Amino acid sequence: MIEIKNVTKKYGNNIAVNDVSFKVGDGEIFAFIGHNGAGKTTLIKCITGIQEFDSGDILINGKSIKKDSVECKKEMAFVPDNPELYEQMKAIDYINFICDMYEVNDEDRQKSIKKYAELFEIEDKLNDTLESYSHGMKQKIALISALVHNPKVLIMDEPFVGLDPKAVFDVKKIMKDLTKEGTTIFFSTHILEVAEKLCSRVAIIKKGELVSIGTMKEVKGDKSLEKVFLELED
Amino acid sequence: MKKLLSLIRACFKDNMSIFKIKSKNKNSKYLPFILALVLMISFYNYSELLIEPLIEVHLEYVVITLFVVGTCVMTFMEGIYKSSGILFNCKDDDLLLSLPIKKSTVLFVRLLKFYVFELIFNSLFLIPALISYAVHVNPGIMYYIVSVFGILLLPIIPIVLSTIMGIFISFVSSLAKNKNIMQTIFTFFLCGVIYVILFRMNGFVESLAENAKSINDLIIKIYYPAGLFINMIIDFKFIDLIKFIFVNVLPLVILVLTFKNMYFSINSSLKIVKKKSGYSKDTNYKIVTSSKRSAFIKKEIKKLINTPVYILNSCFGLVLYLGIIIYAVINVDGVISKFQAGGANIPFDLYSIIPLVILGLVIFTSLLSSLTCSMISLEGKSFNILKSLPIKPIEIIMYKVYTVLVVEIPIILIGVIISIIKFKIGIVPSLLLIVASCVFPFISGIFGIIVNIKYPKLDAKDDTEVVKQSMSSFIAVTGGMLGTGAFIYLMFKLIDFKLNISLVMLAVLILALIISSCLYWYAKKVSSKEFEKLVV
Repeated sequence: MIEIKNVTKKYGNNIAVNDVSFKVGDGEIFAFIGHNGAGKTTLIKCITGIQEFDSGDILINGKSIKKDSVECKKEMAFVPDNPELYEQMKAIDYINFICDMYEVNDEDRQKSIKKYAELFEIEDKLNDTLESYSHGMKQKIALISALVHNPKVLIMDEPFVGLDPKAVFDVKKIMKDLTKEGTTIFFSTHILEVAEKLCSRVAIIKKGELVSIGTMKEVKGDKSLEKVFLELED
Repeated sequence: MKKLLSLIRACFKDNMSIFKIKSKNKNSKYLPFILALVLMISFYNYSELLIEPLIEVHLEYVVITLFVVGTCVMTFMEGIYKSSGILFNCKDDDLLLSLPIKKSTVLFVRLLKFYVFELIFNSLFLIPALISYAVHVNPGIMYYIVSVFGILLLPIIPIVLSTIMGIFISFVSSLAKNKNIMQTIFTFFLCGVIYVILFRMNGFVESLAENAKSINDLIIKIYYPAGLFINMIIDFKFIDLIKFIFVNVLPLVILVLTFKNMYFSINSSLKIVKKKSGYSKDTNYKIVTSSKRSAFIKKEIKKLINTPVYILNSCFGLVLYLGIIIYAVINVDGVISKFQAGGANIPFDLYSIIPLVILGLVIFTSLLSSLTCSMISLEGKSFNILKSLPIKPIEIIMYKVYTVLVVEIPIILIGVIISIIKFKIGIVPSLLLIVASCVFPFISGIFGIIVNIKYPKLDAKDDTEVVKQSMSSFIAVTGGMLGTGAFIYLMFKLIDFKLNISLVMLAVLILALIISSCLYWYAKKVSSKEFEKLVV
């Protein structure tokens, strides 16, 4: 579960996220949408402990990211918007490195790597260095690295960018499967269609403030999510 | 012309961020400038030391000659691996090549960037010597004009020569499968060859000296632009100034016009990372479990090995250290007699202080081989991955320091053990030397990371910008030089008190341990918090 309590983040005098509060429950897929520069990535960086915030608190399964960031991070996985991975490493070495950091045992990592590498059709490329990978392939490695340690909370910033249609389909399926196991999924996206079909709840952020939050039905009513989004942005 | 100016403006706005300190702390903002000033004052004092005996024989200009030759050699040697980094492996290649700009313009702007940084760093050495000369000789206005021309033009030829070498190294590397490793090995090899040639030039210089009418005549024969510059300082002639400008600028123009096409073809070859046959298609991948610490160290070492400018900059000193130790071991009597014949005014028997000399060498090598001062910056955009990992900042800091220890300690220890065996050093000084081989790399490692966290450069366009042109590398190197100077000064002072060699070493080690503890405390209390605040 993710609990965001009155979080404010400023860059100098500019307020990037202003007093935002909401909860994302276990087994829920939560979409976070907003135009460019609305504050999505800033809030995601605060949730994942990458960035400090000025006030409020964020709880990951009841633990504060401010006070106990290492414990929170152990339960969490993050897929960044731009997969800037360690280019000089082979893909398998990178995944092994992430597994080592999350202390995944041999047997589990063997199973997970095989499962996801096969799913993303990348198992014959794991011995190549990441610098030879395309954007989409790097994104797949970032996703595998996030999933191999079986996180309870999965945070993704624009996870579908650069992926081929088959991979998008697979990621959506993985997301649904994970929620059945109780994993909390929080992701930002510009693809409103995906959000509409995939998510149980959605939040729209504008200039650092939440302008709408609720179940998909509550937010869009009888309209399409795209229409609601455009109206709110106006 | 308009395009060129816009490109220069854009390039420099981006790259000169080294001079924009983002820190809120006033002291942090001024620290680099204070260090630069301290460095210049140290070089001023050094040139004063050299100039005083030379005044008596009316050879004051020799000080400037020494500094000019020193900076030219330094620019050339460093430029060999710097040029490959600055000219190749740039992240803005795709953007620049998609714009309607001539290839020669892009190459010129990149060389200009290289030149400006060399100019700034050379000035730190040249200006103190020029001031020292002016104070003693009280020259006319032309001296100052010639000095400005000298500072501006003297780095050009070493830059051109090192660029040619850099292009050659990159060309050979671009033919290999593993380009980065090939580039590193080839650069190490070429630099080694150049050092050996410089070392063996004694006979050549002696024969030139026999036929030279004066010291300056000798310099002209060895390196014409430097000799011309000194000629103008002693006796200004307008025609010499024209010659000086022409001799320095012409090679740059020829370089840009000759290499523009070759440069871009090498650059594109270097960027081809996929093997001709496509991906390996090998489904037998290895799953290896490691502890957090060893996984982290492996990752850092991989980065080091695959970043030529990083490994060359950080490890060249270590290779040189081993070379010096081996040379000294083979030819100790020759080295000591050369010192004494050279008139070095050392008030004690050099044989009796060999352990201290080795200790000095260990300190010098450790403090000037700073790997960590670029480690955070080299994370670049992947820094967010690091921050999202479930590891405490102090653990990340220490894992990076451990990498330094893993790389440096074995090499330093090899040199120390060779020396212990060859010079039959006693048990106590031997033990102290072994401890020093561990303590000084630790100081260098932790100091480097503290500085890098304080002055990070996570948005660099290329690795050379981080390794050679960042504020943290400047502070780490300057700090290393000053630290080495301070420790060696302390050793000399303690010898003056007629202390036993082992006691001198012990005192130095105790001080080093105290400094290590203070730095560790600072890293834990301050740098960890600063690390948490860093975001890409």
